Amino acid sequence: MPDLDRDIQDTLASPSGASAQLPLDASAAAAVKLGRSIVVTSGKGGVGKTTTTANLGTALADAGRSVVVVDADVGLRNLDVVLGLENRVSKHLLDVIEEKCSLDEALVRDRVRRNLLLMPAAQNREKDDVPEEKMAQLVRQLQERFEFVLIDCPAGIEQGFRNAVVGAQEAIIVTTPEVSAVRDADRVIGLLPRAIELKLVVNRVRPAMVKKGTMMSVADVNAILRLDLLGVVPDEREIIIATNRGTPVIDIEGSETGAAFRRIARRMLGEEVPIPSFEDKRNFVTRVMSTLGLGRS
Amino acid sequence: MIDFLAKFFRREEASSSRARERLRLVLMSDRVSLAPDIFDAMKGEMLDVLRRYLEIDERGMDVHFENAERQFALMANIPVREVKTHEAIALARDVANRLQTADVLESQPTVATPPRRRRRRRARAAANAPLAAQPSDEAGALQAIDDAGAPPPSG
Repeated sequence: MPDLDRDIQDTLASPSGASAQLPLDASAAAAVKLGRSIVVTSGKGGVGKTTTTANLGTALADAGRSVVVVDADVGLRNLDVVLGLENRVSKHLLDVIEEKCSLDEALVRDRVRRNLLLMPAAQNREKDDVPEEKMAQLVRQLQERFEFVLIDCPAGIEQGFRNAVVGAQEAIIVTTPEVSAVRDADRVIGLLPRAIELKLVVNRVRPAMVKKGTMMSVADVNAILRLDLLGVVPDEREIIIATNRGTPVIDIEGSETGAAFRRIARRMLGEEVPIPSFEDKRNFVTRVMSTLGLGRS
Repeated sequence: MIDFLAKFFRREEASSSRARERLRLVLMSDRVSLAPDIFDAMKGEMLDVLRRYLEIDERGMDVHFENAERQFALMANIPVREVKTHEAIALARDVANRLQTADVLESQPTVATPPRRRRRRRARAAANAPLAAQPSDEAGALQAIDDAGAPPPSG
């Protein structure tokens, strides 16, 4: 039944599907080994796409890979802020597409990890200003230079989504254990071209709540979406602190969230890393305090 | 103080099962609304079966899905003009069987209803392309119903 659904929805989604198969420069393909292009998408906003893109990019760079993270959220860029690179952005994706500057002029290099680069989105433009085929070409160009091209997709299923998806060969679907987020993920899965390889990340899981039966489990979520599970990310206060500072959460020592992102990156590199069952680590006193409404969680 | 005690002793409702159930229902309705061609094909096949036993008023007909409180349901309101006689049903079945045999020989997909009616349906199917989807499956479905044993012609 899910397969049938995908079939149908693929046909409906043919506009983006068709443009994904644009004829690409065949001579270049023969000469250069292309990197992997992966879009991080969710449909719903606020589920952690940008955080996921930033942290996976950083973790992959730590593993020695050359990585570019692309902010496809034209008009509402945020990847620069999450990475703490907002002061270094001068040119952007649309400048490159409109040939106002070169690729290298727009790319921003990370302060710490020299093999991690950011392609910022334009902030003063709109998503409809980006033509799909130009976006596909840009991603292709980046694939020639980087081992990983991670594309941070905007929320929604309109032009911005289609632009983010057009050059991608793989997709990471980010969702949270909430009815609205899973519903939107299901919709997005149906809209993605069939050739794209799909993986699922369930973000913002609160193991204590799952145990109590007050939050859907990862199994509940994936019983509906039925995707290859790439990882589970627990919800944690560290993520807010990391975002405040503009450092990726993987750099915060002892962070469970950071550790989860590092494991996901290793799985992306083909390593077999088991997904732990995040037990409720809080001790008895903290648990009682939080039951009384006195705790901080 | 009572609030405090209530909070201490209250067990939170296990709302995850409620979330699961709501999600299941909302996704069923999403998926149906995303696949109108499949819905039309299903409706067409259902009507093919009904027409063999009943005279239906197609203009007064209403078939849709409803997302009720706890159940996702297919609601059908199909006005019946007349119930066919045993003879008419037997005749239709006979014609259908012969057509099917002919189909197998010619290996040509078609719809198992009397010829006159079939022409009319074809015309409508052409106007409404999705209805014409998978005619061979349609025949297969009819065959399955025949095998399940429709009431034997009596008298």
